[in-house]
Amino acid sequence: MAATVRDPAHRPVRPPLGPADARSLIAAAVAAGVPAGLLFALTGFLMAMPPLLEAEAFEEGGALPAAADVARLLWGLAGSVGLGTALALVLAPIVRATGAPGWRTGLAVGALAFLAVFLLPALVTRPGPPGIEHAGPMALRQGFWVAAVAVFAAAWGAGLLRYRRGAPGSRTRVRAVGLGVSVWVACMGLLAAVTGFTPGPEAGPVPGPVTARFVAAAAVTNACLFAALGLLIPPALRRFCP
Amino acid sequence: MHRTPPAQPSRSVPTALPAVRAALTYLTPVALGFALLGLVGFAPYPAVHDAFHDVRHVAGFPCH
Repeated sequence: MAATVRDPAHRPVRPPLGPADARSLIAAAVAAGVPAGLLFALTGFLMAMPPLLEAEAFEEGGALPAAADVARLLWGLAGSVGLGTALALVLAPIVRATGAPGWRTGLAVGALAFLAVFLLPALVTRPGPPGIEHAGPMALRQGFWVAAVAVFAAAWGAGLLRYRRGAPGSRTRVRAVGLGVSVWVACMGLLAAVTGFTPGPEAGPVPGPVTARFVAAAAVTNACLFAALGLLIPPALRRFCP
Repeated sequence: MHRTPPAQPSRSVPTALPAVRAALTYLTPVALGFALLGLVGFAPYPAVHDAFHDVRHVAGFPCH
């Protein structure tokens, strides 16, 4: 029997998904996360490492930028694969739970995760190369990073419950997005008020243009990572967790 | 004389257990992912910090 049937609107409808099990979800996450992590490593080495080494040279008092040795590159590779796999382990169950693990769903989840894990925390905890002296103690900034992601997940959940009730482009959907944004801004504002934390300004010996180049390279590197995760998770789920 | 119909299986158990199982199925990989993310991005030990230093900076995790 054909695997794909058509509904009256002539859109292909996939057969319902079978029950998932944790081992298949983990296998799918590893299959998508390892290559996504390798892409993160490659983009990072090519784009983010030059300004990072330059910043380190300023940190050490204006020495010439050192070349990264093999051990450092290998640890970078291991960390990148670990990061890609970790994110895939969190995102694959979300893509699977939508019930429609196609590339559109994958890219939408990847884009939301990029917003949640890189872009929005970057507004609060401000990424930067080594040598930058950030405002506020590290533990507090780490706490803010975790809070930024957790509050986004909660706001996303709260908004999504309403979003699903609305038709595409309807007022309900616009309001749902508004609700999610308001919940995030209100919670982060409240946390900042309670802890007395304000992001920036940064100090240190690294010139502004070097920092700017590093942050732009980091943004591109992370965008590649989440795009790869969004595109690789759905086929991995279809292969390991149909 | 009427025969007693065979006992119907209780409905609450078969519907409650799959929900718990489904939650465990989906949350196990998520928990593993958070643990790995904590190791790569947030572990305070100097050896782990130094090893994943570049990745932490590029990923935008607070590092110093």
